[in-house]
This record gives sequence, C-alpha cells and structure tokens, in this order.
Amino acid sequence: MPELELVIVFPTTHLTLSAEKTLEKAGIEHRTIMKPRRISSDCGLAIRVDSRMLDSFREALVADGLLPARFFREDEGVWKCVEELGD
Amino acid sequence: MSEPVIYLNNAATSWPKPDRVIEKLVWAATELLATPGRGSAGVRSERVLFEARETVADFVGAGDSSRIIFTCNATAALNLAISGLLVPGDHVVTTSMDHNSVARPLARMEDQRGVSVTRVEADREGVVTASSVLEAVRPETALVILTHASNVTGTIQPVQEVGNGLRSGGDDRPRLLVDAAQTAGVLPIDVQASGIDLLAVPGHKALYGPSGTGFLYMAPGIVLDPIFEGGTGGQSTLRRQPELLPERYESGTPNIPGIAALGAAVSFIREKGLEEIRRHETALFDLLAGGLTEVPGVTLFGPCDSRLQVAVVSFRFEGMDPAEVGGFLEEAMGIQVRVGLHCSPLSHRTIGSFPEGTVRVSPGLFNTEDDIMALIDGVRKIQGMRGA
Repeated sequence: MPELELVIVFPTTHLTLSAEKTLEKAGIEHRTIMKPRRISSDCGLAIRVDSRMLDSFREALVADGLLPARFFREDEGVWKCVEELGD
Repeated sequence: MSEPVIYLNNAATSWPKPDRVIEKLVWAATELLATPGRGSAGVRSERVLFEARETVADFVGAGDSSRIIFTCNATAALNLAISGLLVPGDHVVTTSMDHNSVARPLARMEDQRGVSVTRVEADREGVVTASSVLEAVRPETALVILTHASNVTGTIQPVQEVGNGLRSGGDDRPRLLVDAAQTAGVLPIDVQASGIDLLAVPGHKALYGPSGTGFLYMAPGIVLDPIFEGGTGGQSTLRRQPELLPERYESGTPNIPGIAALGAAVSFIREKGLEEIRRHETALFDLLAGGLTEVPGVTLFGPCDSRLQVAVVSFRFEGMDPAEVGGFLEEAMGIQVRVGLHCSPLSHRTIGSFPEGTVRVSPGLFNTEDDIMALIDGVRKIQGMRGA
C-alpha cells in the first residue's frame, strides 16, 4: 500500500465528502481523516492521497467543480502548502 | 378518537409514513451521536446529511447538491428565498392563489423594504395563465412566484411555460421561485429543465418524510442573505457567515434524524415512481369528485379535472358551515379532513369561498377506494339528515 502523504483540505465538509465521492468514482486510493490541527484550526475532515495521484486528483476536482482546495505535505514535522486550487 | 381511522388530510401532512422512513428516523436518533462538522463523532452524521442531500438534489434535477439547503419546512424555505433575495425597490409578480407562507413574507417586504407586488388574479377555478404572469413582469421585477399546485383547489400552475418565458430574459431576468408544497412527490420536477431558480419543498407532505423537514434549492448564481447566522462547523475564524454552500444557510445543529428520514422518504418515492403515484391519486380523485358531484347540495371548487390538478378536492354543503361537515365526518365516521381557509385566504377569495372556507379532502398514496367511498357515504348521510 502506498504512503498517502498528501493531505487535501477543503473549506467545507460538503466539499470534502463530494471530493471523496469523486475519488471513489475515479478509483483513486484515499483515506478520509480528521483535519490535522497543525494545518487548520477548523473542525472537519481532510483527505489523504498518494502524491503520485496528484495530477489525476487535480483533474477530477476541477472537472467536478470541487474548489477551492489546498494540498499539504509534511516536511520535517511541518505541514507545508504545496498547491492551492481555485479561489 | 385517539387516531384517525380514515385519513384524508394529506395536503396538510401525509400519513401514514412508509416503514423505512420511521426506521431511518429511529436509527438516526439512536445511532448518530453528534453534530455534523463538530468532532469525530459528528462525521457519521455529516455523511448521513451528505447522502440525503445528494438524494434530494438528484430527485429535483439540481446537479450540484451543495445548492440544496435543508430547512425545517417549506415555509422556512420560502421565507429564506423571499427575504434573502428582495431589496428595496424590487418588484414581485405572484398570484392570487398564494398560501400565507408566501403572502405574509411578501406583505412584510412591502411594509418594511418598499418592495412592490403585483398579484395576478386566477380565475374562479384557481387557474392562472403563463401569459398573464409574464405580462405582469416589469424591468424592476426581481422575483416571480408560482404555487405549483394550490393547497385549496389543487390547480396546477404553468411552471414550465413561465420558466421558459423568463429564461429568454437573459442574466438580468427575474428569478422564478416555485412553492412545491403540494407537488413534490406527485408531479415530476426538474429545476434545470423548467428554469426554476428557487424551489421550496416540504418533507412531510407528498414526499412522506417526517415533519420538521424541507429544503430550498438555489440555482447557480443566486445569492441570498441568510436568515440565521452562527456556527457552521468550519471556517470558524471568519467574522461573518461563510459564503460557501450549504453552510452559509445552515447554522447550528440540524434535524439529523429528520433529514436522514427525508432521504429515505425520497428514495421510497423514487422506487414507487411518480407515474404510479400520480395514477393512484388521480384514480382516487376521479372517484371522489365524481361521487361528491352527485350529492345534492354539494358544490365543488377548482377545475374538477384530474389533468389540471393534483388530488385536492374542496367542497361546500349549501347552507352549512364547513366546520359542521368536518365535525360530523370526524366524530360519526372517523374521517379526517381539513376545513376552513387552509392558511390561504387569498385562494378562498379567488374561488368565492371566503370567509367560511371549504371542506378539503386530500387523498394520498396510502388511501384506498374504500376510504373515498366512506367519505362519500358520510357526505350522503349529512345530505340525508338535512333532507329529513
């Protein structure tokens, strides 16, 4: 099983669950987690994916209008935003 | 009487509810622990809401389910649409068949926001033509409101034609708000195909969901001022209400068991099929209208034509208070109907039954021909007593 090192954060839980559905439809491996507090002080969910699937995931999100979204990667204990999609 | 023997008041609230609706209600009340978006235990609740929202969105052809806003009933949905959209100087076109859930919010808009209202008169059967509605539109018209079917006469209004007519007006066109209180679950509704910008739906009528549920569909591009503001689970650091949907309009803990059961109710309706539901209710309507017409002294209101209406029959007994008729039917026959003005004095003025109102009979999916024959028998008994 690949390491799902990329965390995608959406501003609403509705968007997160919509993205989860999109991932399932596209057959992209993922795991829905509680939003890490070091990324956001908000309650809610985030999605972990394999960074090798980033292009497919980005394409699927844009196609379904599931924006905005921010992509994070942990680097030496610090979460860094590596990409922002949408507003 | 502790419970109705024969329930013919489905236009107010449908009864009984399908087993799966009750089961879902109990399941959600028993199993779901927490508020959606608030902690890990709320995730299950959030998923249940999401699935219900997707089901409802698909049912009305909404496409994007985030544009479905759950409310506590159709009245709340109508209030959000009317109060959230209109600004001073706006003009509204509506009809003389409005329920008070439209008429009263509009009256407040007139009094407090300087909104002007043109009320297109229906004929004595409650029929409004699309051309009369479209002719009332002015450059400053922001909103056109149609009651998809009257809760007094069942008369169906020309939503598709009005939607088509408004659509040709471009981006600055008036928005179309449809009150689907009597039609969602009976007549097909496709918001995108019909040019509906705002659709208000109760969960507890023809969708056979629980009371305390309903929703508003908002088309892309529509922005409303929220009625309620507060905690939305996410975007907590924003000083003002978030802009993203559905959270913008859903502050506080929602009716999770109710919404879960509403999703189950819509699935039930889809499996049953609108054609089958309409066929069943039309058959009961024809039997009912035909039987009542033959009773001397009875006057029926509305088109009395199942092609032009849903299964709602309003009638009066010459010289009798509708409350006396309803009282006899309930006490002597165990039949539940609704009498009076049905929260729609405008409709009763239109059809000539104001201020006494009418006796309203509204069969539903679970009624049988025997129920209708019992009602007709009851009315005949009243006629017999009057003649004696």
